[in-house]
Amino acid sequence: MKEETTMNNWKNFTKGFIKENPVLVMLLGCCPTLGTTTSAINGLSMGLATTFVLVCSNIVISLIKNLIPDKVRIPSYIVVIASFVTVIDLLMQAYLPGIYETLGLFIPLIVVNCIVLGRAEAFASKNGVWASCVDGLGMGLGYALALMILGAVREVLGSLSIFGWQFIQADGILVFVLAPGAFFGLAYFIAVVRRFNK
Amino acid sequence: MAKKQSSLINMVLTLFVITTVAAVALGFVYYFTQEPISQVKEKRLKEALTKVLPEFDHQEAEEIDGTPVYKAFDANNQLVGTAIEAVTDKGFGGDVKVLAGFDTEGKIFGYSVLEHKETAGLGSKMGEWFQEGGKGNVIGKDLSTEAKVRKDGGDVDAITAATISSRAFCDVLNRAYATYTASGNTCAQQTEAEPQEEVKEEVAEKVEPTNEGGNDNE
Amino acid sequence: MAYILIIISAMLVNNIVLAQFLGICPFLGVSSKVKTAVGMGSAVLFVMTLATIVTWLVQTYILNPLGIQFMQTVAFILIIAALVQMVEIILKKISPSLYQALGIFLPLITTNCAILGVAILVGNGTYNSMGLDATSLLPAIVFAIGTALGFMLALVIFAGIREHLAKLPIPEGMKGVPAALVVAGILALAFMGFSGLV
Repeated sequence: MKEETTMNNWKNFTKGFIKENPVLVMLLGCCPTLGTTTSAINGLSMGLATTFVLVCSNIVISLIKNLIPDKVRIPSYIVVIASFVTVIDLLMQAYLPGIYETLGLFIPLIVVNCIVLGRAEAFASKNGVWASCVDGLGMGLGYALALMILGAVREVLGSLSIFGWQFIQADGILVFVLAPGAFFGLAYFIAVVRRFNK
Repeated sequence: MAKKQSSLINMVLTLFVITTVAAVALGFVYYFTQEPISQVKEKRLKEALTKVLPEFDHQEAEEIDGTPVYKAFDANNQLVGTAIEAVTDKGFGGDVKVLAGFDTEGKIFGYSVLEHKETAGLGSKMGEWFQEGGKGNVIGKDLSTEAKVRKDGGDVDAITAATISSRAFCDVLNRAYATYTASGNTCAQQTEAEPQEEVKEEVAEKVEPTNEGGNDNE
Repeated sequence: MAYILIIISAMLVNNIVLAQFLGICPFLGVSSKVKTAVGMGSAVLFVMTLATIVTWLVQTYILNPLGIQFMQTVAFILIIAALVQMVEIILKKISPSLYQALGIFLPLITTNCAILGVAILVGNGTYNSMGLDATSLLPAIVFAIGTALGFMLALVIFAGIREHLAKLPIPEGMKGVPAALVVAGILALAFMGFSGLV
């Protein structure tokens, strides 16, 4: 019995990486994916900020799910999520001001990231605290990983550097750090992941 | 535990309780992050000022026509320089905000681009291009004669393929200098508030093509 | 004149979908037919203008005087959610024909980050106001309208292309979303031509 739950938790954790990856397979949360992945660091920090909100809101929602009447479910979830978004917003302002400035508008916009509300509705409102926490962590890290890889690819091609380290002193293919590059990058990323998921 | 009924009272009460708890909790977080946030802001301002001004001990902030002006003093309360946070809307992608530092003689001591939306890889180079050792070095320049790019008859080397961004940069410097003179610490002989527009337009078009390359994107 | 510039800047130069990456979900989701694209666009135009006015009032007369700007995210998302519900109910009562046209898109709008994004930009006064006072109401409304028009424009162009795309032979892995993203990338490239216009 116990072994089974561990297995389950492990499954809940890993499904977010490839099989049910929120961006690459379920196509949720595309806006920050396109908007913040100009470099690997930016993508990673956006992903981690989302993970924080995802885990916290999943935990709280699975705790209070029985106290909330069905009809005001969604507004209540939104309040919980928005509160955690504000918390991470304030914390980043205080302790990571540089990253906060580059991510800008996309931090408060975690509220409307479909992944967060989607997991609250689809998972946390039906499962226990521990499972919800694991689910949030898995989904969040899967999201962060996808964002980091996309960011890294765009950074390598666009500015010939990786994690801020410039390996060739020259201009890259600029279009990759600009808006169109985001669309192209994500398109091919999704196509590649589809190939492997088959 | 049974699920609560969706009666009106229940719904209103739940929402009310949740929002109240959220508001109180956020109030707490806000209270505790207030201090670090203002410290960080202070620190970043100080860092930015150290970059553009000679060594100083403390600074005084004031505002002239909505433009922030920071006067820096040494330990003996002697003025060592003035930094001005100027903005122009003439950038290629939008506003360009620059912190420009002037020494006591009104020469540019340093600058730092605080905000810009110029194209990455072209106009965005302005952060390094005009620094000391950069190709369009403006450090040490006396702005009593307006800063202008070569195409417009000035002596500032524009960023390759980004003339508009470079013009915006010159404009922001000129604005900073105008505020600098307005802040009262100018060398008395050059107080004329230059009318900025007229000269620019005429010279703009007809200057022999420079070797900057024809591909002028910005 | 400045108002016209705000519209051009918000609609073309800083197009919300193709340059700012907001509102991507409905952009990819509902834009396979021109007709639905127009419907979604008008619903966004309607709600965005209304939401901007209400959130502006809340920001100026409640959040700022009380010094509780940190409640912005929570307050705005609740306002938008409530507003969308209200518009839905009122529209059903007053104009059933309009409700038929816009109704199905309204629930989708709550989680459209373009709405919240514009509300936050206006609330903080950090949008491109072309020299006008960014904290007053009229430029804010004009900015909201321009942004929504830009959203509609991108949506309609995109839908028009996708209608044709459906008939083309596309490699298996690129079918659907990846192909759509490539099209969006090319559109973004085209829209980059507008930069420097104002």
